[in-house]
This record gives sequence, structure tokens and C-alpha cells, in this order.
Amino acid sequence: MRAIKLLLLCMGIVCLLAGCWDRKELEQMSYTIAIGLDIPDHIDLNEKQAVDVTFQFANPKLNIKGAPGQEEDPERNIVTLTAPDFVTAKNMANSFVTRQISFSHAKVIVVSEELARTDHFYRFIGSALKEREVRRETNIIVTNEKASEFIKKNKPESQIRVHKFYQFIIDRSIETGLVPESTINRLLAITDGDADLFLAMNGSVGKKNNGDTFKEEDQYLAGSVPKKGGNMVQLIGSAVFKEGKMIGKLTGEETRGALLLDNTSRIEDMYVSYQDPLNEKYMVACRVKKKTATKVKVKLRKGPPLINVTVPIEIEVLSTPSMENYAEDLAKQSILKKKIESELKENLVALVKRTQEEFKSEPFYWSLYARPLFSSTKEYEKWDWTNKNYPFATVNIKIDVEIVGFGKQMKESEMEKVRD
Amino acid sequence: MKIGGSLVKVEKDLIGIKEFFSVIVFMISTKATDMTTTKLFEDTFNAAWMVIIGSFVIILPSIIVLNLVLKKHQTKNLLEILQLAMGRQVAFGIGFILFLFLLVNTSVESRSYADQLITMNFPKTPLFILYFAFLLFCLWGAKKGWESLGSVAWMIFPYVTIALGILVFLLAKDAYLNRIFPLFGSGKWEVAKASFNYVTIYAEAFYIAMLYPFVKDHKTYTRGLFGSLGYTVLMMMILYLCYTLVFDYRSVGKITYPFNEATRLVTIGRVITNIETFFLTFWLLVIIVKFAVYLYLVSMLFGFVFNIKEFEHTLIPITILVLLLGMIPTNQIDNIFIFKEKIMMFSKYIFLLLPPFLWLILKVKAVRNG
Repeated sequence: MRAIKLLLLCMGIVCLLAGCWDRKELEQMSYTIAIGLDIPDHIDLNEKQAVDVTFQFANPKLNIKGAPGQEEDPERNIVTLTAPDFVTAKNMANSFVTRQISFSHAKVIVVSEELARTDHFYRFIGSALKEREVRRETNIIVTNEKASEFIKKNKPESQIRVHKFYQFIIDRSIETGLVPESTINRLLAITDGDADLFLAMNGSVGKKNNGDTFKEEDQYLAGSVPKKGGNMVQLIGSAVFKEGKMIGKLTGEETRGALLLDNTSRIEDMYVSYQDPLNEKYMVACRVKKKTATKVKVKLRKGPPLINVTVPIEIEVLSTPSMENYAEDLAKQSILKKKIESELKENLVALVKRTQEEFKSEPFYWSLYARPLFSSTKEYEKWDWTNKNYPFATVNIKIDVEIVGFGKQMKESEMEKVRD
Repeated sequence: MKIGGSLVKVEKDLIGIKEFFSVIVFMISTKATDMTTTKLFEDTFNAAWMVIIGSFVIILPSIIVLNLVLKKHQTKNLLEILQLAMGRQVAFGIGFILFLFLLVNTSVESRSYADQLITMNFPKTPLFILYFAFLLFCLWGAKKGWESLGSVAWMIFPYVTIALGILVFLLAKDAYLNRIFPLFGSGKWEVAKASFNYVTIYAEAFYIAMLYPFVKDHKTYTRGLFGSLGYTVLMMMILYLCYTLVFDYRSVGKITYPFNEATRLVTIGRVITNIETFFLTFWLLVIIVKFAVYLYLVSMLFGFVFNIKEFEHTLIPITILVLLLGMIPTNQIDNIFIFKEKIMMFSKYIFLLLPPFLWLILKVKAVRNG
């Protein structure tokens, strides 16, 4: 009896070993790292739903010693096909990709500017979330050229695998504030909330050697950063989305300004140079940090509202090529402080003005500060922050600069004496 | 199951405060993880967390009155007291209605969880198989009896609490406090209306009165019940708030399963991503305990209504009935938005009115009998 029971149990276990419907070996899966979306070349989107989808697959072999990884033709891991939407494209691609394609590790969705400027963009992204593998923390990158070109031309430095590349470059760019964090979750929250602008990372394929136009470090748009060598792909600045549709672009500097005004951003490591107030030929390099959250007060009054904004900023002076001794002289410090305050304020005021006039809405998520003024969503939505109020509002920006340090070398060499 | 085997043997079938506490917490607080959330967010937007409190406040007097009634008749359960107060026929009628409500509710809800599992985690598994396997587990748990269910619940309680704590902590990174405004969501009146409509969130507090004789003593029961209800309200409120703060009020109502979506969103640092399975494990454990208790309660009601002393023998047929009923709706929208809504609409009056009514009758009887 016991033997029979044991036998039955063993047979039962054999059945379990085969697994169930949703069991998949890792080897049977192909993980998409980047998904590119483009407008197909010969199809009119207004008549027919179609999208050019580019998949970039992870190459798990790269990690194995002795396995041919980098040398393999990288184009083999990138495929482009035209499909009704990018969810069904997964299956279509299986006509030539051997493994089951999964989106669950997709780091970015790359969208061409051309597609982002149409209504179709939000249709594709918004409804793709029904698919369980599309995750809300995936970032969106808008590229100046075709998304497929961006993905193909992207050749990270050696030893860096693609998923690491996207993860690192996105994290780092968000830290420096040159691009905003642009997850699908944020896109949906902002677009559904219908009160603010969504900023997406702007990326572009630059030329290998870009070199003529020189500006301050963050005043570039994607693709125009002067450089020689390195990866052709660059991320700087942001694409502005209103109601799920792209309407414009911000430079790196403007993006940083927007992130300073926005309390939902996480800038950590922002290096900025300002003109030296004591010697206008030179610049002072600083590390800029938000000390605490930006204070935003929206006041209702007759007519358009009044918005008072205070940006508390900490500055660490990192280099003064003019060799002025700021650390020792309090009077000089106060001149520097005033200079930085006025320069920052000028930038931010110009940015606010541009959003009010050009975009007719704001990318700073300030609607969050208008909401407490209302007790129900009905009143709040009727009041209509983005269309009826913000563009006409009076915005007062105040900047509190505190110089918190002068780096690890306090005094500058006295140039005159050295030259002697 | 050490406790079930040795310790409790002395006082068979009686469970202590810890077990009772965790069973109720599991049964009710899971409603912050299923489609109840979706419906609540649809009705009240970002004020859904208020409805949790509002409903509790509305139903609290009934629960207190019921507790007073139970105290008077120490060894009897809810239906026995009903019988005492209103006679056999009426008690049979009310018992039968309660049984039907609970049966349909169990099948609708268990089906909803099966759908949730399929949508989020097992897209290729056929519904019937998954549902069957799920109920099989619950049946197995229910077969072990009330005290084992209690000890299992208490056993996993700390781990579940820790997992939930981790989830809330990780969600905090993506949460923006001002999304709680406009404070009253779709409006004060709407919130009040929803609070009244959703009192059935706490229906388990009444069904559990069936098990009154199986809890150690009245003090244990009262403390366990109100302690767990307070804790549950807090838990659910935190979860609802998290959903609102992370997804914002217009978006959150569009998500079918905010809980699963939230577990997908969180990451530990930059490298450890896709950790939803970690949370799924604990969630599944809780759900299995929850429905095991449900099955146990259904068969208990059935046993009482039809005078079957050894009601645990009816567990298997009841489970099959639940499975068959649960297979009827074509999809989860049918299931939740039509069937569940109807159940909620009718059953809330029973929960709100029955206890005061019962108390009144017993009072009148007591006065008459001098």
C-alpha cells in the first residue's frame, strides 16, 4: 500500500515538474531594453493605425567570459517593423526572433519628435499600459530624428551593456538636472490631471565631431553639444508635452530652471558657471543645490491669481579663474551672491514668461499648489488652472542664495605676485 | 501548526486574541488591494481614503450594538440569538438570506481575485484551472478548521506587515503630498453618499459574529474585534492614500488593480527592480487565509440554516458551488460592477438595521418577561 502511495506521489510530482502555462525558462525569453516608436514612412496615420516599432534586445551573452559579445554585429539585436501598435509588434517580431519577447525590463521608450507632435503618440502610450508587461517607471525619450536611428546609432563606451547604458545615463542626467525624469507614470498623472505640462527627456544623434557653436555649459539643445569623439547620442534638454502632445522644447538651462521651480524633481549635482561680478571676462563655477523645497504660494484674488515663489539655493564655489578671493572677503561674497541671485532670477523669470506666453501652461507642477484652495475636484476643474489662470497670473520669484562653501582650497594665488 | 495541535487542545475550537485579530485584519484590509479600490476611486477620486473612515463611522454603532447583544448571550452565535429573539421561521429566513449573500459574495470576490492573478501574473493560465487550484488551497485550509486558520493567520501576520511596510516606504519616493488636494475629491456630498454605500466593506465584522462562541471569551472577542477594525481602517487608509499620492486622482481611477500596479512601480535603489513577486507571495498567503475563512463561514451558515451539526462536511460541496457560481460572469467588469454592486446595494441594510432591531426585540422581550 505504502509503495503504491509513494509511486502515485512520484507520478504527481512528475506532472508538476512540467510546470504550468506561464512557466518560461530564462533562455526562452528575449528582453527588450529600448522600444522605439516612429511614424511609418508610407502610411497616413490619419487613415490607418500603424507605427514603426524598433526593439533593442538585451544580449545576455556579453557577460560570459570567452563568449563573443561586443564583436557580434550589434545590428542583429535591433529590429524594426511596422505594426498596428507596439504590443502586437511583439508577436510579429517572432516571425524572425526566436524567443518570446518581453517588455518587463524595458528601460526606455524612445519616440521620434515627428510622432510625439501628433495626437497618436498618447493613444499608443496611454493604451499600451493595458498590457501587463509595460511598466509605469519606464522613461520616455523624445528624439529629434527617427527613434530607430537613435537606437541604432547609440554605441555606448566599451564594456557597458545597453540596459546599463540607459540606466546610467538617465540616472546621471537627472542628477545633473540637464534632463527631467520622465516616467510613463508621470506622463499619465499629468495628462489625466490636465493642468500642467509634461517634460520628457530630449535626445538626439549629434555628429561625431560637433564644434563651432560655444555657449555656457547648459544652454544647448540635444544634438548640439560641442564635442569630439565619444558616443554620438546625447541627452540634454526636454520636450514639452501639453495634453499628451509635444508642443515645444526647452534647452538644458531652461530644463534646469524648470526643475528648480518644481518640487517633484530630484536635482542633486548641478554645476553651473556664472559671470564673475568682479572680473567680467571670467566665470565662477558653482555647485548649485536646492536647500529645501521651493515655496510656492498661489493666492486667489479678483482676476488672475498671484503666485509667490521662493527658491532657496545653496551654492558652493568650485573655481574662480579670475583669482578673486571670495572666501576671505565678506563684501565680495555679498556681491557674488547678488550677482547669482539676479542672474538666476533673470533666467527663471524669462522661463516663466516663455511658458505663459508660448506654452500657455507650466511644466513646474504648480497645479499642486492651487489644489488646496478648493474643496472638490469639480470646483477645481471648473476654475481651470491651465487655461484660464496660469497664463495670466502674476508670478513673483524670489531667490535666496546662501554660499555654503569654497571647495577644498580656500584662497586663490595672487596673480600679480606670481607674475612678478 | 503547533498551536492548533497541542496548545489549544485543552480548550478545543477556541482561539485567542492574536489569532482573531489577524483573521479579521486579513479579511477586511485586503479590500484595499482588490477591485473595491477601483470602484471607490471612480466615485470619489482622491477622497477615497475618507470613505474608508466614513463607512466605518456609519457602521460602528451597529457593530457596538451587536457586541452588546452578543455579550448578553455568551455562548450563542448570531443566528442562535436571532432564533431566540424572533423564533425559528424568521431566523431561518434571515439566516438563509445571510447565507445567500455570503455565498454569492464569496464567489464574486474569489473570482475577482482569480481574474486579478490572471491579468497581472499568469496571462496564459486558463481561468478555470487557476480558480480551481486557488479554491482547492482555500478548501484545504478551511478543512483544517477554525483554530488552525487562526494560527496560520497569526503566523504570517508579522511578515505581511513587514512586507506592507516596505511597500509603503518604497512608494513614498514617488508620492507627492499635495495630490491629496482638493481634499473632498468629487465633493462632500459624494463622499458622504459613498461612505453610506460602501458600509459593506466592514460586513465581515457581522459575519464573524457567527464564530462568537469559538473565541475564548467576551473580552477577547471585543478587544480583538475593535482592535482589528481600528488597525484595518488605518491600514486601508494608508494604502488608499498611497495610491492617490503616487498615481494622482484622475489616473488612479483608470487603473484596474492599483495594488499590483503599485508593487510594479517600486524599486529598491537603482538596481533591484521588478520586485512585484516579493509582494505577491505575501498577498497570496493573505488571500488564501481570507477565502479559507470565507468558505468556513459559508458552510457554517449553511450548516446552521439547514440544521447540520457537522457542518465541516459540507465544505467540499460548498466550495464546488462557489467555483461554479464564480465561473458565471464573463469578465471581471461584469463580475464586480454588476453582481457585486447589487449585493452591496441590498446587503448593507441588513448590516445597518439588523443589530439595532435585534437589540430592541430582545429588550422588549426582557421587559415583558419582567
